[in-house]
Amino acid sequence: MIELLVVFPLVAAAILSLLLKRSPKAAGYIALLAALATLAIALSIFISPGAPQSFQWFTAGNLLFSISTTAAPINILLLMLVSVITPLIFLYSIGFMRVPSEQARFYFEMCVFAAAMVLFSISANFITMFIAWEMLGITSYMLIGFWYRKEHAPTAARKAITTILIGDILMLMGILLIGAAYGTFEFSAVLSAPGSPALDLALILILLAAFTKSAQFPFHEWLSDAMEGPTPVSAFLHSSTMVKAGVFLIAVLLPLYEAAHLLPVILVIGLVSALIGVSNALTDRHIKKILAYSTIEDLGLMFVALGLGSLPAAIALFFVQTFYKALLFMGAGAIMRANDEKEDIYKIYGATLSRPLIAAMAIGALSIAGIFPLSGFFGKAMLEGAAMQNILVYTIIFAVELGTGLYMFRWMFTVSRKSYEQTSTLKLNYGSIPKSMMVPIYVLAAAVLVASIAYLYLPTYLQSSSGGASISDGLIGMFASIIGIALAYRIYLQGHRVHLESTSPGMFAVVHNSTLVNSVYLKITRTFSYAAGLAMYIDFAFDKMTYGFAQALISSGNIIRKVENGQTNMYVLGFVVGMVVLVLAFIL
Amino acid sequence: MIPYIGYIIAGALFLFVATDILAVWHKKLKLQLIVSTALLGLLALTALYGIMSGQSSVALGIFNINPFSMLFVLLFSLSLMLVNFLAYEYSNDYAAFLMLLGFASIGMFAIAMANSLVTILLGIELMTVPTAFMIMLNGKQFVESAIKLFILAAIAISVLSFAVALVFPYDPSLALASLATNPGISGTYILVLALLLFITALSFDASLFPFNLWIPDVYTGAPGYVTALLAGINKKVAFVALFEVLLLVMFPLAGYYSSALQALAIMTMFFGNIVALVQNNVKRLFAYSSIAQAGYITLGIVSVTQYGIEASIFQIIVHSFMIIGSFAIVLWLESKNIRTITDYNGLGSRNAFAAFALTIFMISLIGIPPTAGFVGKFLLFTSTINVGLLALTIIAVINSFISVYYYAKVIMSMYAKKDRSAMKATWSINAVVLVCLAVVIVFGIFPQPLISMASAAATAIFPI
Repeated sequence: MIELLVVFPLVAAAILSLLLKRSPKAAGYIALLAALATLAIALSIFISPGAPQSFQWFTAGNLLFSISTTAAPINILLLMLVSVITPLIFLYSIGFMRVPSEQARFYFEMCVFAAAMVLFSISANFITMFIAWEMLGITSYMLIGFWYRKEHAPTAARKAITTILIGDILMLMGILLIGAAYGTFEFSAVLSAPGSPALDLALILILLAAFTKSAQFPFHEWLSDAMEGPTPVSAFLHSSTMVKAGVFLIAVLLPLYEAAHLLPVILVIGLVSALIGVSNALTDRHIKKILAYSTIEDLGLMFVALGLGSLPAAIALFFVQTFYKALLFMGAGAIMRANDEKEDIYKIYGATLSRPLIAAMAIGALSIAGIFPLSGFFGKAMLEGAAMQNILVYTIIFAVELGTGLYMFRWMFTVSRKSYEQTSTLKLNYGSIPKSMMVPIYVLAAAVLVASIAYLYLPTYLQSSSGGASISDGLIGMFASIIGIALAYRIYLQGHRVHLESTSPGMFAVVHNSTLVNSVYLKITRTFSYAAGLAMYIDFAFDKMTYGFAQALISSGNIIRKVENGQTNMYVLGFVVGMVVLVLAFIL
Repeated sequence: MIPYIGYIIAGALFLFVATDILAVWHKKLKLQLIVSTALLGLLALTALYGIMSGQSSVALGIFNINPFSMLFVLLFSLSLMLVNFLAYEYSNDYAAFLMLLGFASIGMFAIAMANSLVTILLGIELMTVPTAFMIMLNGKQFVESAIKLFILAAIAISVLSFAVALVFPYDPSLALASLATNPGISGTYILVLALLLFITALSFDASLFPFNLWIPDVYTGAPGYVTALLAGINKKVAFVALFEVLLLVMFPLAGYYSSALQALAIMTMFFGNIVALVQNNVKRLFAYSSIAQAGYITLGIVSVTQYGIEASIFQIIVHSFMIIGSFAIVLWLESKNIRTITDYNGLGSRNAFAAFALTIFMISLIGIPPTAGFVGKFLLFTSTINVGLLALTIIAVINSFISVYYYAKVIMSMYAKKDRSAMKATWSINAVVLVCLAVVIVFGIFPQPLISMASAAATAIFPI
């Protein structure tokens, strides 16, 4: 049963790649069908989770490589999230992707991604997980660069793949270390194994890899650039599913981190990332990048929960964030559609012209701000309950909450301003947003409301005893959010806007620190490209040189002289020097 | 049964060379293609039987018949078959090419089944010299590459014969067997010198830095099918010779060659990958990529364990198919004057199969699942980390991720623009690419049979 989960999206991908050049219209529906089939199987697994399965892939030496899957509660949770979101995203994409020639490629990449994500969610050993992890990175790269003709898309894709590849190196090293130390790759076996220095090193490497995937400091900048991809991609990969792979992996391995005393590291990085996310979200003007920074903040808070050792709080945040963030991204896509794909929030108007849309968006925004009784509130309440003992962490969370209310409603209030010149065109535009884009938004808004029950069931479902956070824990955080919203109301709706960028540029540079981080990235990559440039000189014989020499010499008819163009001498020299150095190094 | 294997192989090889020579006169090329393919097929089947039967013996006094030698006879006969198809279509003088290929193949099979150092020396010579002439066959513009290869090969062979000479005082029979100490010579420095000269000479063909500086030029300057032969077979033969010398003769000096090869492997990987980053010509890019791959293959020898040798053998076999398939596509496109990465623009829409195949080969060269390249690299990296070479493994992993950049450049370019003018590949290119693709994907998903064979081969060659 569990294998079919992966099979359906892959079959759809195969069909899309082979047959569908001629009828692009069917592409979206085939993908949707596969997603629904996956959802059906996921539901049946949810109802009756089978035993963990494992089939031997190959053995080499004394290492057994196998593809293992499990249906533990935490895995099923992620599986359900992914398989519920997938059809919604595909439905939204049917309305969103308008160019026929792009259809097959888009749904092909999306289906491969969906297969990888499902595989990731049920993986029970490092081998399976790593295969899925690699596929996630590659499909993410392809989807960010999907509109490769856009000015910034290739750069953004390259930045993402660079960061993710750093993570992959670290991850592979970690896995190799674990394999060498314990002779097994199974999560369950490693979880019950005794600690060792090798394991600690491996855990640090895996943690860093998780930080790259989940866009945590200092690897966070790729996520805001990833918004160059189509909006369904942002809503799917870069907010609700793939970026949480890192959090999920650490959650699965949490007991090991606890034993290795690495929780404070997770906590600190989570807090720093959350603050970075909030400060950039407050100052950015790009409609989707604000949400991306907000995602960095969400993920940071999940790591904070993990760092506090509270698995239920992390998973609760993990669960509720999926819905409101996907909802907000989809709403952003709809608003951009109505505003001629403008991206600057100060050039976007009139979200209130579509009542159902703004209502759904408001549900999402209130939920992210953590207002009772929306699902976001309960996630935050559990986090704050876990942070109660640590006053410093609690204060920072308080500040983050305040910032969240502020930036979220800055975003909401700004995009819903009225534009007096073009009200009629806007009205028409908002009215003509395709149904297939609106329906998933409504469904997700409903899900945000319903997901509140997670508070009641999640701890018991995860079979953990330490889940009990009371509602009162969340009230102070909610109070902070309300202050933030009130501030946003006063600043952005009543026109007390401060131009930080012009009044105090120094302050702006600190708050909007993405420019700073990017320049550091640039410095690092520059250093490497200088190294590569240096390597160019090693390659002293270029094609042109070779061709030029060959041509010149053929015409002169002197064959032997070709050999005397200096290259061969260099090769012989290299050979002899290498030999002498080798001999001297060992004989002496 | 065992002697028959020796006779069949010797007979098939003799017929292969004899018919190839005859073809220069009768010029019935299509017939000769069929005959040579059939004979190579016979060799492959015999070798497969040899692996399955799993026994070891010496046939005709000079051929070692064991899983190790049979596995490489199998590999070489299959990849010779592929190169043969490529040459049939693209060589100006196929009959002459085939004759030279026949001579070279004696060298290759001799090394695969060698039981003495002299066989290895002669085999290397017999393999390299005809290869230089093969490059020259296609016209004046190839002479440059041929002479470069020839000069460098001459130096390498002279170094190799000197190394063999240094072994003589220890073992006058020059057999592939562990050396006894000579009571007349104190210390081991003569042996160490011999070892290093062996490594130097064989690194020339195995393309380890700094003995590989000729590779990019010769690979780029040679016609595509000879490049496929050089990268897909000649290089692998050198590795086989390295295995035989290092494991059978020089095993007591394992500590020495492990550290020497470690240094060479690190330099080779960095050299190949970093210089490949700035390449614009795809054939040259693959030349550097194949250098880097040689570095990875060396990792298995560095670890000096049976598991490491197994990993190396696995990667040698898989890489052989990946690179022959890649060069087949490069060869075909070169004949249409498509050479640089920008020229590859829109290949995805012009010939979807070729673009797809090249993408899979590159994914496999990077080492991404579910391709055979992933399995090979994973085995290699675990083999070094198992013996505690953490730094080396980190360097190797970093290198394998550097390589993503230049492969991704080609992949992106192939799928970047739409170009309506379709291109059709010839049947031989399609057939070769299809076989290579099948190997890469099938052994990526079901690697167990190949791993078992590699394991049997490693058991046969590894001392103790």
